[in-house]
Amino acid sequence: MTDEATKELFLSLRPALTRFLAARGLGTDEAQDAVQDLFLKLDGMRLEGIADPRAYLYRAADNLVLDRRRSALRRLNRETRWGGLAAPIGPGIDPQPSIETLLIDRERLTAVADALAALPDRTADIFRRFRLLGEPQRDIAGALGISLSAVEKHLQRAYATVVDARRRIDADFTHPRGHSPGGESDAA
Amino acid sequence: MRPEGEHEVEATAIGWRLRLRDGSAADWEAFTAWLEAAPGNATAYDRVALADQDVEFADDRQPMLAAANDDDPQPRRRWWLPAGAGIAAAAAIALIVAVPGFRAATALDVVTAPGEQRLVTLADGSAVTVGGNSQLILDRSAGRRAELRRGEAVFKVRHDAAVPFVVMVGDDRIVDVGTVFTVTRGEGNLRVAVAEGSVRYNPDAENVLLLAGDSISRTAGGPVVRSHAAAGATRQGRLDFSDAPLRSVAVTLSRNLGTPVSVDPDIAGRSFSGTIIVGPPAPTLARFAVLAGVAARPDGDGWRLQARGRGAN
Repeated sequence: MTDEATKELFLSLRPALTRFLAARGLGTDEAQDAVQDLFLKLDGMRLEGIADPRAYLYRAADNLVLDRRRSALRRLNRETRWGGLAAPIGPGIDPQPSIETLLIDRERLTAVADALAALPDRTADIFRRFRLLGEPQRDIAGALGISLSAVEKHLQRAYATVVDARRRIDADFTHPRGHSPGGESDAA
Repeated sequence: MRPEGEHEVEATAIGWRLRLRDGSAADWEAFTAWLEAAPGNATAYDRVALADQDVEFADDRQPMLAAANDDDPQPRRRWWLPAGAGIAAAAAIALIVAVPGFRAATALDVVTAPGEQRLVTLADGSAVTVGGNSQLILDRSAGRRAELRRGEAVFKVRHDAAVPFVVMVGDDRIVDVGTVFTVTRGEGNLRVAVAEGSVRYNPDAENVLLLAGDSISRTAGGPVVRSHAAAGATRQGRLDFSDAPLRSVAVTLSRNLGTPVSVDPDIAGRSFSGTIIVGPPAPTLARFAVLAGVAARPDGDGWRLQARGRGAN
């Protein structure tokens, strides 16, 4: 795929991506900025070797939102835990994480790792195959001789465990403020 | 306590996350519609997706996940290890193996703590050593693309003219032409040093071709400064310095040893050339001190480089 083709694809997908970003919780202006951002990042890149370039652009947009969420959460952690000592940070600027932020991250990751270690063997194995070895669910089902829906059930359980572990740690560090429009509070 | 119904929403969000990993554009469109259907859906998906990313960050703390390598019948190639085995003890090299045929679409986010080094091997045989206090994002779906968010990484890249390996640093692009090279991203500045082969820096703009031994540095918005000296490249547990002032050597040592190393102002400008094998801080600094003709003394939580024949001991 040439640069020109990449550009064309991007332009044709632009309205859909903007809509997706708005649905992900970005404001109208923010969504347009993010699409622009994405375009600049991808400009000049060839998307050859990517099986489904349209899906790839969606994924890139999704990751962009997650990056923003992560830096917003970091700011929030700093402000709530460290009494507003942090220097003012402009929107969209991801500062060098402070030692404190890294410590919170570390605590959270330890909690996630512990939660994973406590999973039943079968669930752990399926999760490892899917998440770390990148095996499609269908292949896992075939290899283990179980149904596709059984595989999904194990994965649901593993993911719920991870989400719960993360929720517990974050509840310790942040006030229950929503971080996105329509956001609900995390802790009761 | 979670509000009623949240459990179901979360299960659905997990279902989407699972499906989207290998999802088509049509899946993403359907996902968009689901997000629009209720305001809580986006929040639930955020929680799930962020937790999902955490798994990548957490994977080297996790024995179960480390067992991912066990299936391998052959011992892995270890060409990246230096002749002396000493470094492994301190540098805590973690392996993440991208299995050939790997289809995970998510980006691999490698974050290192100060003093930690990690080696990432890619399916095509390329290898990246991520220096201490650094963050590198590899897009596994794209295969040959990486983004350095901060810190330093050494790329040993299998060259493929059809699909060049591209490293993004902010808006800058570094494109390999077959190669071992180091990229360092500091506060508002960028450095690229080439050890073997060649790379192109911003082929669409400045288009600077760097050959072995060349390096460039640039502060945001400033001119590209080019020199022929590979200074302080993290390479397979080695730090190579060529005519580097001690003040920058100290910064590199701090990052790679995980302990603060400062330098007396009167010798900060003195230059140093040589190679240091990274090990535990004390012996590493002792060896360095001999090489550099300075004294390295414990100082608070870290170390201080001083002129010889001064200080308490």
